[in-house]
Amino acid sequence: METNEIIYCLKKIVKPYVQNDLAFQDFNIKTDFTRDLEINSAHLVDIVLDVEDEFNIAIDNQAMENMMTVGDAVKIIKKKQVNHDR
Amino acid sequence: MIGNDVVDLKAAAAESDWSRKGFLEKVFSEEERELICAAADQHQMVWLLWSMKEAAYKARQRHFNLPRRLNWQLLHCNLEEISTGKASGVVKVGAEKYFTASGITSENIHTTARPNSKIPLENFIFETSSAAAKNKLLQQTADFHFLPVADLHFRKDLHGVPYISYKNAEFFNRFSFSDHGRYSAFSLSLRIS
Repeated sequence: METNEIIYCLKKIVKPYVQNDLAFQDFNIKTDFTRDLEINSAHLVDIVLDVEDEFNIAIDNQAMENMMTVGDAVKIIKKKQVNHDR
Repeated sequence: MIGNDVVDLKAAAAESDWSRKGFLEKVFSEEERELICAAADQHQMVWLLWSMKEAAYKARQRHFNLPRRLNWQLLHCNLEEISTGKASGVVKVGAEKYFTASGITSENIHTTARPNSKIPLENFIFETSSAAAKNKLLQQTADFHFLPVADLHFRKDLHGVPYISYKNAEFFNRFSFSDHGRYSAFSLSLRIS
């Protein structure tokens, strides 16, 4: 899956949890889930679970630790999908 | 170093479904999930343990100047006492310990955490906007130090940890701030222990 496709999917996943709509309009690889979108920490759990469902991957605690930005999520998804395809 | 966390129980019920598949497993250990399972009020227990972890996480982040991290399983809750209106316990991260105290009502849970239970602490919880509560925090800090409140500002450092600046220099950080739903809360330690 291409980066822009993943970003498109992530944008749909994240939308219901966003508290800063202005930052959401400028959703990009550098967007920070808590700093920019002001998503509360309980909803970060939902996002991790939604990403697992949508991309059919398992995100372990070690990978989850650093999932702060859209770019971090893209990296994790790509890495897991490579493992998946093997 | 202090951490706090407030949960609006009605907002949590409306916006977070902790019974969804995988949610409790991502956040809580097996022992913690057993506590939730056995609780008379499971919703309250989920958010009590959650607020203990969040408060301890913030206290630890401030204590060691740590970057942000998403790993709730790193923090282990030991609930020592729970009675009407309050709870206390210890949250462990490896060998580190954070002592927690929680106030519980039908509407909210507010938990504070500190590495040493002798650190003096005052807690405030308001049904106001986040901005209004931050102003109250600034006012209290200003009054205590006999400074004009206009010179104090609420800021965040590069790890997202809040501090109060005085004339644009870091001035005070022995507090923690949290907001959720209808509530804003802060804990502060104006007097040095």
